[in-house]
Amino acid sequence: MTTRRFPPWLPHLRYHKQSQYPYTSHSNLHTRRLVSTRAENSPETGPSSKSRPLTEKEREFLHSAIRVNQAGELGANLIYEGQYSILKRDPRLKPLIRHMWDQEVHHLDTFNKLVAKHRIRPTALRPLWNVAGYALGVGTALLGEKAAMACTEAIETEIGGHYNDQLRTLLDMLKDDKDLLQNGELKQLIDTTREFRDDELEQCVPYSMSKLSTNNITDKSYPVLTLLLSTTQRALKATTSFSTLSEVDVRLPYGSVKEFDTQTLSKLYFTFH
Amino acid sequence: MSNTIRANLSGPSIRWLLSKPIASSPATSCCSSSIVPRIRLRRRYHSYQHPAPGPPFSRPESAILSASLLHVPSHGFTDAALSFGARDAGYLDISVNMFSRGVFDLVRYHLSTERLRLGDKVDFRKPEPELPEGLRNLSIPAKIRVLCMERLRANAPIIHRWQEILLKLTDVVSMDLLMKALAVMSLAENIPASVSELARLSDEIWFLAGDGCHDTTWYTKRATLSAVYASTELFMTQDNSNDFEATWEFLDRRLNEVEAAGSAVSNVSSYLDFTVHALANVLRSKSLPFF
Repeated sequence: MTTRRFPPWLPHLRYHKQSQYPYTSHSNLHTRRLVSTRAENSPETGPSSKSRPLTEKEREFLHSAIRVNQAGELGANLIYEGQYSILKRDPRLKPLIRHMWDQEVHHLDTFNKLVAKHRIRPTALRPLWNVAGYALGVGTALLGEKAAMACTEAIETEIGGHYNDQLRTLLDMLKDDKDLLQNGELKQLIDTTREFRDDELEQCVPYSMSKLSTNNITDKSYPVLTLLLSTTQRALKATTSFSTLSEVDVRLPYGSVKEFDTQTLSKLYFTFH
Repeated sequence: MSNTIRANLSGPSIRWLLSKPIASSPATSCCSSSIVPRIRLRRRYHSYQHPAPGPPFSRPESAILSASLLHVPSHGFTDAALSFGARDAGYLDISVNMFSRGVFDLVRYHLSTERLRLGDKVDFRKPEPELPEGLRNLSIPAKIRVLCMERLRANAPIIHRWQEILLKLTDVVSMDLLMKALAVMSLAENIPASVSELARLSDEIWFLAGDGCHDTTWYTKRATLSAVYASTELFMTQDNSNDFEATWEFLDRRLNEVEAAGSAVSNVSSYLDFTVHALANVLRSKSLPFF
């Protein structure tokens, strides 16, 4: 019965009625989060004798990593806000976007607290993101559901991949200190990052399970949009982390520029009109 | 390996050296990038669990400099104070030469140690019961005021000598041309360090006040506090009142001005916000497709 009410490409919405939580997701991620995300609430522990001092490079990495994460989550929040302002009239999409937005709000709160706690300079481009992020959300939502989902998926994949890179560096940083991997503030940072990465990648699942799968949307239907999104994300990453600029991978995740030939552009034109 | 060697030997450094003019006039050199070092304001991740990296001064350096500071009230920020300090600390007079910037290193030592000491004196991040009697339940501006006063009090023993340093940094009118060039160059060398020390101090004060801002106000707060602190410090050098009462009044006036400016900005933005929303609602009431 519920399957009839909801379109088949949004299978996860079937669980909407059954869930006792405000979230529509059937996963237990949000319950697990209540247990694990304590990075911002943990008491300050003094320097223990076992902890080694962090090197200059490590402190620089942590500094820019947290700043980039905060900026990324801020951008995602604004995009969802923009999409929500348009798509809230659609009863199918409203709870879905609300759910993803709620997750992003939680992520942003966590990183805001981490920024204040670890004395990190927040991004100077915030006024720019306030305008650009919201405009991107509204713009993609106005293009239609497909474009909105392409946007969401591109962002979530990018942020999730970024978290993955950070996790790799963090684990590499601590590979010689078994003690620090068990407890400590860096362990908490790793837990937070890991959990948020799972959240971000979970948000891609509804789309890849549906008919509107990844490749269909991003590579063929909306090449310009895809290019725009990936460049936005790259720009965000590059401009917020001056120090790690050399480490930024400049590979486009959704195919290369040569795919944007006249044929696809004309197809794009007909899709819009 | 071979890459690094090639990188070291080839190109940039040698080319850079050769491209530099051998002699340039003092008037232009004070503005060129080769003389003026970059302001280093790189901030780093602040860890609670891992010990902080070592202090900026080595052990013999801080021994000499802290002993020299005791001579500053009588001798000022001069080479004499440095030499006396070195003798007191049990070093030879010549060891003063390890301070590449001479007297300015003494100034920098004073600035950075007093900044780091501020957290030991007053720390509003502690739970309320642990704070001293008069410092509980304060608002953020009041906390900022207390911290500024505490930091300025640390200048009290040397304040009559501090003026000389500020004059040395700002006033070059009375010197002849050669001396002027030298003074400007030393000024150009020292200003970045002074500015970044000021920025670190205002960052420290906001941090100790327990302020957890994470948006654009982070920048405005630090900029305004730096301006307020610098002007108050300048005023303090001229202050002859009892226990610097005129300075505290001056500080209060500056902080009030900043607060008034901040509330004006927020008033304007809330007015604009209200107007835009009202306009949107009017459009909606006319059943126009407005989001």
